[in-house]
Amino acid sequence: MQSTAQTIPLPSSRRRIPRPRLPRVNGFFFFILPGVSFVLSLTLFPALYGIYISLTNLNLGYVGYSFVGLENYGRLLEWDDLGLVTRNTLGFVASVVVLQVAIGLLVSILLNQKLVGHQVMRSLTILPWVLPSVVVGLVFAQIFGGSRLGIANYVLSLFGVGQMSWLADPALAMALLVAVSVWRGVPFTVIILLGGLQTLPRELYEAAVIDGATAWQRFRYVTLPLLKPILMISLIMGTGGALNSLDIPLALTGGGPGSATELFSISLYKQSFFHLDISYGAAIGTVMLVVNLVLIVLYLLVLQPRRSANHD
Amino acid sequence: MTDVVPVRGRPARRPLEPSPFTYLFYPILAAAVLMPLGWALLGGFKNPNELFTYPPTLWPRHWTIANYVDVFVRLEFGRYLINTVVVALFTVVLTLFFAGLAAYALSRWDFRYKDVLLVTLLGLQLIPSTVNIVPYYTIMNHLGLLNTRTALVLIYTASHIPLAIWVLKGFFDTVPRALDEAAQIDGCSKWHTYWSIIVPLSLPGLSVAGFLVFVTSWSEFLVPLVIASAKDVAVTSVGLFTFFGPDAQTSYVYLFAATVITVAPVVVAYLFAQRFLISGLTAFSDK
Repeated sequence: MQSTAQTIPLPSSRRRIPRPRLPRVNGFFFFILPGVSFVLSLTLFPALYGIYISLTNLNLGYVGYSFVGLENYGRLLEWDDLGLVTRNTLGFVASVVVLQVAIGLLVSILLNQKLVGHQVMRSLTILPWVLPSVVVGLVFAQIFGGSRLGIANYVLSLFGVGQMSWLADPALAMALLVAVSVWRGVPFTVIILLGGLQTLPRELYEAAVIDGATAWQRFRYVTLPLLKPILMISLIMGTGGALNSLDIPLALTGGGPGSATELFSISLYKQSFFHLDISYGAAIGTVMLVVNLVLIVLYLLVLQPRRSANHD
Repeated sequence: MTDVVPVRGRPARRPLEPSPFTYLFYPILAAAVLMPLGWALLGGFKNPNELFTYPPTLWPRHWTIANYVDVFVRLEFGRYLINTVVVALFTVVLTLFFAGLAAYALSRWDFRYKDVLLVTLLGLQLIPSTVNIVPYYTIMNHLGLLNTRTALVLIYTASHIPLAIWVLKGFFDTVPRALDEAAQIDGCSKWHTYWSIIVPLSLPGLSVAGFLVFVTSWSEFLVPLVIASAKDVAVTSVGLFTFFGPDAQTSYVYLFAATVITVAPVVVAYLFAQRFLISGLTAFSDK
């Protein structure tokens, strides 16, 4: 390791001030180690430990456990609801991500226009991001399923739409779950995309206008290509957010009616802490971890070239 | 702001004039956000009978704060609030302490694999608590920390340190190194330099990271639900879920008042510090 404290500009080495404290070369170690070991011990270590638990028959209802190899994964493959939950999860994640990024892109382009009042609108639009998502789930459950099936049905009835039991109908419950997740998820996408939009060079748009490009052409041929890395980031983060989302599903539908909105995240929670089959839950968690690792690698790959480009 | 760009050429058709058509979307956006929130806010001030009337009323006919009183007296929500505040504040302090030291080192020293470390931290931060919830439970069980606020603080701190490091390193990078060097010539150790020079100069950065950590700790749900759901240590999100979740028995008349109480601190924090929060969040995509 090279000495890095040589940056102090001194005329000659004879006048160097002796520093009897920590050896300079390894000083950073004492600054970094506590934080990094903290992070490792409660992020990476649990993830690995979860893989280990998934290879045992640990159950919160019994004392002791033994190593059972891949048995939990075998059970997972034979699980009756596997197809249903896979379809639910894929459908949920895909719908949430597509809607979230599409709406987020539209909204952030609108909010990027410096009209009178755009700052107030921006604050308002981003507000749902600070609301605890479990609260969002509970309030929407009430709006769509409270007394007389909720205020939402009353409002719809004013427009001539008949009463709908949102939380009792499988398709409607899923649609509602997607809608509420999007409502809570759009602000974060808007924050990221607005940050990206504001870095786009104005000159390009001016040149495009002078060349006679329409608004749509400016969007299609200037905004979209330049925004691509940030769009990728919001797609990846949106996918992870939807896949791992548990607060809103649990508060809004709890997986119901029946298993109509059951997602892998809900199964993990129910298997582990209702059926106490915590090693089976860990197996579901490990499968989810693998998907998350793919997303994380993608995320870092998208981020990496930008980083080094900034440093050059 | 950066939008003062001199426009050369034809000033008559100034390009990129914002389109007034955008205003058409403002009411839609505002309604989408405000309607559910307004319904909850106003619902908290209605008396229980009014919540069940049909057709429903939007504006309370008789304003009452009885729901708020009941939420505190009958549901003992004060305890949940205190738990949430305590956990969030300890998390903020611990996170800033560890992340600050690491960020300072990462800002001032160069060593091999530094970029790898920074990127790894960012990746670790993205391992979701949903995946880690089972191991969290077993680990805290082993440590005898189930149903303690300590367990929550430890887990939140670990999962927030990477983001805080990224935010703080960005700020420390803007503090001139000449100050460190001057302090060292005066005989300050790195440790003293950090605490007496860098920290006081980086209070804006520390606030950004602190606000961000506070708001996200406040909203945590799954970890406290599984790790600390006992009544005396539970936080507001868990309290709300146990009272008003799908399987709960409590009448929902209190839901709206309890919601407002839960949400008010973070909304106020947001209104005062949204610039801070947002500049911190873009650390996810900007660096």
